[in-house]
Amino acid sequence: MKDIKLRVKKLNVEYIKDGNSFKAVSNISFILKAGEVISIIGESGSGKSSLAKALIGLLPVSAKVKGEVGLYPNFLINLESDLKVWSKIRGRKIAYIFQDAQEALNPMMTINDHFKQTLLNHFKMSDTEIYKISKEYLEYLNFKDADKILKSYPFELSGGMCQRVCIALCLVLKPEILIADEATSALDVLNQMEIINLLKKIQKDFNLSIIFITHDIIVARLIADRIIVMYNGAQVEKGTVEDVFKKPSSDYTKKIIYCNKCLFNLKDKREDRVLNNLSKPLLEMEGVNKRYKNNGFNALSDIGIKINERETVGILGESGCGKSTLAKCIIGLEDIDSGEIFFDGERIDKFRKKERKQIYRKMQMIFQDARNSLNPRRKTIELVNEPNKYMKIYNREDDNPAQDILKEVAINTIHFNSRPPQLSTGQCQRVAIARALMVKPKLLICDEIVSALDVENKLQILKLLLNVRENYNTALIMISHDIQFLKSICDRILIMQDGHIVDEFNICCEDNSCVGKMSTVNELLYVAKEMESQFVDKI
Amino acid sequence: MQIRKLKCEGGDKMQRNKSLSLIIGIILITSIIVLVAFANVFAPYDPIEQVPENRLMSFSSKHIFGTDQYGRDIFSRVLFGGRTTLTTSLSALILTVILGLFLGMVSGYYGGLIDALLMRIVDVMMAFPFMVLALIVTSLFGISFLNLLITVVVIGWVPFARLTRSIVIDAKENTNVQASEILGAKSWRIMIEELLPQVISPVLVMATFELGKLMLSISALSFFGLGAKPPSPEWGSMLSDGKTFFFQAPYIIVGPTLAIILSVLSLNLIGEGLRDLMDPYEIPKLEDCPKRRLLG
Amino acid sequence: MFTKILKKTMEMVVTIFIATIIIFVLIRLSPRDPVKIVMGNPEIAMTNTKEYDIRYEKMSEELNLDKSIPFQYISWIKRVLKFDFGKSIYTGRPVADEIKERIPATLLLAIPSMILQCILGISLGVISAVRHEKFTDQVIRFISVFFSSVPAFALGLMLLYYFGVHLKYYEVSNVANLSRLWLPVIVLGVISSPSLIRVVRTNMLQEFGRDYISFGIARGLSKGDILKNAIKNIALPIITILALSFVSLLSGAVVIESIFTWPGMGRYAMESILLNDYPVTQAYALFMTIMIVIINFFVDIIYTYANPKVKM
Repeated sequence: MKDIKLRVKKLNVEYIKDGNSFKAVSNISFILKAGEVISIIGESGSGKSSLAKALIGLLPVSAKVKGEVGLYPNFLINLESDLKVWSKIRGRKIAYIFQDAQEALNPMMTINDHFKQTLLNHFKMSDTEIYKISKEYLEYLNFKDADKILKSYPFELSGGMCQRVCIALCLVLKPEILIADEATSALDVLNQMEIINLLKKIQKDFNLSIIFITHDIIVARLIADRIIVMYNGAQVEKGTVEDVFKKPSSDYTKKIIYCNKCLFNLKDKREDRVLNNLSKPLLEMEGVNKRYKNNGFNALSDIGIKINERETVGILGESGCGKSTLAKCIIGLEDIDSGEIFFDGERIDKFRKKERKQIYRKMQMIFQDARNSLNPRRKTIELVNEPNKYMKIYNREDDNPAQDILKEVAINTIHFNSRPPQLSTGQCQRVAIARALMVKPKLLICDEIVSALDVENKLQILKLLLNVRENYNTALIMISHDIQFLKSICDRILIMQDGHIVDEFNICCEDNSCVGKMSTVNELLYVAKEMESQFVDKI
Repeated sequence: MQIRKLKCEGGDKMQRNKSLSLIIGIILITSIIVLVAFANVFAPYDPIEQVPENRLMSFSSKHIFGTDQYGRDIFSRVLFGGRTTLTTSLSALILTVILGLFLGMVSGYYGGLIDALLMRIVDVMMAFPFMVLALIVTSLFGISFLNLLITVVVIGWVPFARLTRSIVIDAKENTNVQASEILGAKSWRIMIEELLPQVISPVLVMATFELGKLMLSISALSFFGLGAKPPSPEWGSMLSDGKTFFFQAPYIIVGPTLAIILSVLSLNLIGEGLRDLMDPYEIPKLEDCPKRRLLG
Repeated sequence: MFTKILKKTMEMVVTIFIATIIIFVLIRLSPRDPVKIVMGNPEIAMTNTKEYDIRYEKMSEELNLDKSIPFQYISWIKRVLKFDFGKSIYTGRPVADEIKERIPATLLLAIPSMILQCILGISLGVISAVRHEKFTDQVIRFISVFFSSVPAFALGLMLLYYFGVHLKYYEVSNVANLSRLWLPVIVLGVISSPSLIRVVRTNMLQEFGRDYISFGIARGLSKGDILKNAIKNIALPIITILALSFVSLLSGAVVIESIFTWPGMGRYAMESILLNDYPVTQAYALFMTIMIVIINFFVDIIYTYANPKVKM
């Protein structure tokens, strides 16, 4: 009983807007002990963010909170009225880090300014003392050149670095509890592992309790002592990591564990793909460069790619490395500054709008935000027919395969007359894929198409694409930051960093060994494998 | 614009406040429009007939706004004059909105030379306050109400074009536009089906505010004699008229001024209300932050 | 950075150049015969027809109207660069002198009004944002909306009548002195505040929704520090707005100067227009253009210089 730090009892969060009420969190209760990590797992919409924000009082005015939060040994926060108590708790007892670490820092202030402000708000210190302490904590968090970092502005640092700075800013106040709200979700695998390892170190060194919010069950597995699974605002599973993974009690938990397992096993079940290496590649890019308009930085530098027919190539990179820009340049939504792009025998980078329409009959693209790519006022069947309407692909009405394609992507007939607001995100993405398939494209570019989906939908789309590429003989370009996802479907993976293609490797099915040229890339692959093995073994 | 104090209870308070501004604005402008449209029903006297015996009378129960230097009832003149003022302001505004929307949309979507040219013109014109430009134009082309309106349209499209262009430039990168492009949709179709819906709400809000500004500027110019000419009972020219007798009988400008204030006020209220509906701010509660930290 | 300044200077020169062409063209497009206007001066019109024609020819020659348009433009530009704006038709004095006399009065009015507008606009805008949706916010917004609905001349006239005629406290005269300054400054400042209040409020509310504010709250920062954080981010956009509003303040000054018979540039321009004194109007247009372009130029420079992202 002595080392309980936090007791949450029947926490409820309800949003009231325009007379409607929406219950985000229903009756969550748990206990957090000192030096313990609890991971709260849930997909978007499960209420986990609302729960996290309630624990530090960051909910907007429209939120009504009920329940008890007890911070031992002194405070009992009655969330209905005790708003003044927050000033004693925030920072000193409970700390909070955000998903987008760069946004969490003030763009007009240096890191040193941030430390100064944080410390001076709680303690009386001289500038030199502040500097010393900041440097100490930054070095603890793996920063080699702490002086340089202190003088920098947030936009000069990478996402991973910003997150470590945020953690340092929290640690200087010596809190007892840290709430990490999707703290690693925006980072690539390498940075994720670094942050996870750091958090584990902090947990041990400072006896810090951590509430780790995530949608990624694999990450949760790596860091948590205990797990709570949330679905639709309610608590569906609670227990130690061992119990939850070995003997899940709720159907929902069983489902997500199963889906994750399938994703890993998928590549094992793939047949050897026989790809005739034709002399002429389907898509060829040479010396492609592009600058950003507003700040002159290079979005793409000297890109050279060759993609053969029916091949599936993955492009892996962190957000901001230029992979989306690359996709847009290939399909012609953006112009390149120099270099050449050849598609199906023609040079396409200098095409005007009219000529580009010819390309759209052979190349299509699927976007990350499925819902936004569909006009909300049109019916599903009309949406799928859009390419035909605009480009007259099929001359006769009978030839129109819209209905068949919809069935192929597993959209039920009852949904043919529905509109996007009535469809789920997974369904929207499948409709978008169906629409692209109408032109029977030779090349299909998929830009982060599953990043916004939960694991069940992810698996479904993956299986769908595996079928599609066999039936339509389509080459695929899969763009993602998720290496597990790419390994399941690609023949070859290219790694992008800061606008350059830095490495490339083939996926060999037999021995599952993938080797690239760069050491950092191999590290990345190694780490990915580690996460996978940790996860798969323990189940 | 809720002045009543409500107890802090979740989000109920917010919703009521937001629509109150809009409701008051709509009620006010509707009343004005009704009074003006049916001026022949509501006006107690003839607006043009001169009754020299009654000249320059102050407010009374017979003449709510008093009489002018020719003995004409100001209230009746305000009601009839409103027809001219409101219809001309509104038509000028509609023209500017259409022109601005079109130019901004084309400029934002196509970019390139058209855009560069438009932006230069916009920059140059944006810098000039309406008043100054109107003064210059009227001095060169003569003083008439028509010239004033032409000035208004020639200058007025600029903020709308700027707004539309900035929204379009952003929205151009959205998934729905990009998806439509690669599906082969024609440019005009994309502009109307994907971009226009995003532009309409902000433009509408701006239009209400600009209409108010327009009415204020026109009345100011008319006051100085650069607008409509007597004897038409247009609000601006009534002001210009009354100027001469102001120090003698200051109440003479109250009528048309009040009409202008109420019209513009209702438009501003509608604009604020619409903007609140469009852009609700979800901000964290700042009130439970300490005012000053006690150190230690 | 230096190249940027150079580039902006070039742009400024080009803009001024274009503006002068536009002004010149507008004037030449004017349907009124400038010679007739000049000759409209009562003394000259009194003479008989034959002398009138001779004088007409002489005047045309003087005004260079028989030469080609480009020549006229160049000779006009040449004179302008020497600060020769011609002579006022009404008074016969050089326009440049008359402008010189009146600029101080306008500045005396404009600068305190600007300061008042800033004080009211920024403080009320920030307070309004902090007390979002509460009573104070409603009151500030209502007052703001109300004053943006009142025509400047109406407010000016009413206050002038009340303090000048009714209370006899304010001196109704022609002089620009300090004792007469307070009323027009209050009117001008109050009329131009609402737009600034609105902009500051909107920008602050937008900043409040950003993550760095939430992170600051989570670290237990005091309200004052959080506000400072937000203000640091809106400072640059607000400076741009302030520059624009200074320009419109100058235009608002036209109305206020006329009402309060304040001997400044604005009233001068207004009177000249009503008297068809077109050399003055021309000079005023040119003057305003150059002022506006220069102000925007400086704002651009400050914006570029103060933005840490660009300092690199």
